[in-house]
Amino acid sequence: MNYELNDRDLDDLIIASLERKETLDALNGIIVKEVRRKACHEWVRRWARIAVFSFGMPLQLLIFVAGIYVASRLQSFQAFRYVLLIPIITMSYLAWHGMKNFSIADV
Amino acid sequence: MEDRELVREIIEKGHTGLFAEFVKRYSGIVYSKALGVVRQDDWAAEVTQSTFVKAYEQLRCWRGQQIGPWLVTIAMHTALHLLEKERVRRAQPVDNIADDIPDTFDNEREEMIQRMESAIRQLPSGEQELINLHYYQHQKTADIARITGLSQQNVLVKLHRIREKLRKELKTAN
Repeated sequence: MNYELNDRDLDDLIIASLERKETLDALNGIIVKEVRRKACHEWVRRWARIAVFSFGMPLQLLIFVAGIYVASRLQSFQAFRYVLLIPIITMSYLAWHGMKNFSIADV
Repeated sequence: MEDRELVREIIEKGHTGLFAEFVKRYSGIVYSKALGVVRQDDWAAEVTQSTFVKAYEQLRCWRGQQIGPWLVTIAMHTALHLLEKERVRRAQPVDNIADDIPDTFDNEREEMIQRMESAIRQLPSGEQELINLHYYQHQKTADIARITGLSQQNVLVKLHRIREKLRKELKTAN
C-alpha cells in the first residue's frame, strides 16, 4: 500500500476522515437515543407486568368474591353461574399471560 | 473500563447510559466493516444503527472478553440480511445490485481513512480543532486566527506541521 501521499491526496484524506467522524458522531447520537428509548420502553413494560401480576390477580379475586355475594343476594343460579364464569376466565388468562412473560431475572 | 465491566454495569446495575461508551468505542469499526459489505454510506449507517440496537437487546447473551468481535459478527449478519432484502425487492441477484448503484467503495481508501481517523484522534485537542476549522468548516485563515487567538502566520505554520505529522503517522502505520 502506497503511503507516499501528495499534498492534495493528503488533504482529501483528512477531509474524508473528518467527514467520517461527523457521520459517526451523528450516528452515535441516533443510536444512543434509540437505545435509551428501548430501555425506557422495557422499564415501563416490566413494571406494568409486575403491576398486572401483583394487582390484577387480587383484583380479579375481589371481583369474584363480589360477584358471588351479589349472586347470592339475587338468589339467582343463572346470575351466579355467569358471575363465576367471568372472573374465572379472566383470572386464568391473566395468570397464564403473567407467568408466560414474567421472569425474576427481569426484576 | 473494560468491556466486561461495562456489560456488568449495564445489565446488573441498569446503567443504560454506559452503553453509549460501547457505541463510542466500536461504531467506527462496525461502520467500516458494514461499509465493506454494503458499499453504500446510508446502508452502512442503517446496519450500524441496527447492530447496536440488537446488541443492546441481546447484551445478556454476550460471553467473552472483548465485545468488538461480537458486534462485528452482528453487523455482518445484519448487512447480509439487508442485501438479501434488497435482492428480493429488486428481484436481482445480490452480486448484481451494484450494477444499478455506482460502486465508489475502495477497500484501500477505506483503510487509509481509518488510519487517518486514528492519527487525528491522537492529535492534541487544539490541533484537532485547527484542522476541523480549516478542512471541515472551510474557515479562512483570518477567521481561524480570530477564533483560536493565534496570528495568521501561526495558524499557517501549525497547519503545515499538523499535516506533516499526519503524513508521518500514516507512513509509520504502514
